[in-house]
Amino acid sequence: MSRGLVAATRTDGSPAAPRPPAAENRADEAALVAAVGNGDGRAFRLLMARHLGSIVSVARRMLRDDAEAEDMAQEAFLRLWRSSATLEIGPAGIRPWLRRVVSNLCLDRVRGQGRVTVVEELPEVPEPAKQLAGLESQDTQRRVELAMQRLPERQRLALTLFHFEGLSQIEIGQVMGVSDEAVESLLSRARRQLKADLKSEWESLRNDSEL
Amino acid sequence: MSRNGLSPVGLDKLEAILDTYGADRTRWPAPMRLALSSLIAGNPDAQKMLKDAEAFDRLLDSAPHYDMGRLDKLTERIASAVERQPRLVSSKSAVAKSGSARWTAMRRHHGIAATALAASLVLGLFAGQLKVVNSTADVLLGGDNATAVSSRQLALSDDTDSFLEEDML
Repeated sequence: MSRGLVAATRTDGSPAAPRPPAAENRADEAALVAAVGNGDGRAFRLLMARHLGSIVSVARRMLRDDAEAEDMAQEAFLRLWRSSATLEIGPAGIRPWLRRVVSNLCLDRVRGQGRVTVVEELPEVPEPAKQLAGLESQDTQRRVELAMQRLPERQRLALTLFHFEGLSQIEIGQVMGVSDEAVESLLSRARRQLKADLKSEWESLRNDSEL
Repeated sequence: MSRNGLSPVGLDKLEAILDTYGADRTRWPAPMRLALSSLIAGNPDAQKMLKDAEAFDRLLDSAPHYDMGRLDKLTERIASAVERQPRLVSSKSAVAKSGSARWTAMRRHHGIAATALAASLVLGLFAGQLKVVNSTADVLLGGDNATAVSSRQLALSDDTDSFLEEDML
């Protein structure tokens, strides 16, 4: 998947709608948020249609659970509904605010649960040959997800926002409230850790690409 | 120094950039993109490193994503939840939105004020009548003292009135 596309893909593997260019859809967002501030349900639904997929995807990567991610996304949008009358919307629209809210909610949730316990890998069970390719793919997906889950939460958030959400270093710094240098360091440590954790899977992909 | 004015960069710098930003060169900081372009173009090791990084990006992309099939249901859930939510209202929108409610409240306040005013008038009249009755009784009961006291009170009240008038001037 190329960077700059919205993180989520459909479960059948087809890519989700591409993320709109930065300037598009943003000019009217201050008006939409103001309308939400006056109780306009249609404006609220329009903002959900634009941003809910991206926001719930960030939460999903942080929490690794669809239902929990939905709870966090819902809370972020409820906060938008409650406080829209007092929000100041910048030229980038409402998405940075929503990302900041959902990121903080997820960080609070993860910290509230203590360190995330990573599920031990299941014992291997022999499977029929015809299902092997699909299972290998699923297994790789699971290993990648587990490796991401092992990352410290701030590294995971930085990587999610950069790699999957297509945010710039500056934007991530704004969401997380840290400097550009700190973002660079978080990204670097995250990728190095993942490379170490996923060494065998990576080797396999490298060999495939050389064939 | 290289032709573009930047210091020449080596494979170690490329590795650091790949470890931070991945293989998509559009995501690299512009000065680094420029500085590393000639290295990547002319060095097979650099090209191999870039290819490996692309494979790693693909591996990351294989992580499970949120199931977008659930999005419609979530949208409806949030839409129904907001109907039960209180909202912060800015003063501006409060003026615009609650104009009629405020008008009703003002009318109610005016009604209370008018009732209070009428009640005080009635009480004032009643008190005044009592005073008239008392002074009449004084006169009828006679007694110079009583008359003197009443006159003194009148004088005092005249003085008070004149002070008040001076203040007003």
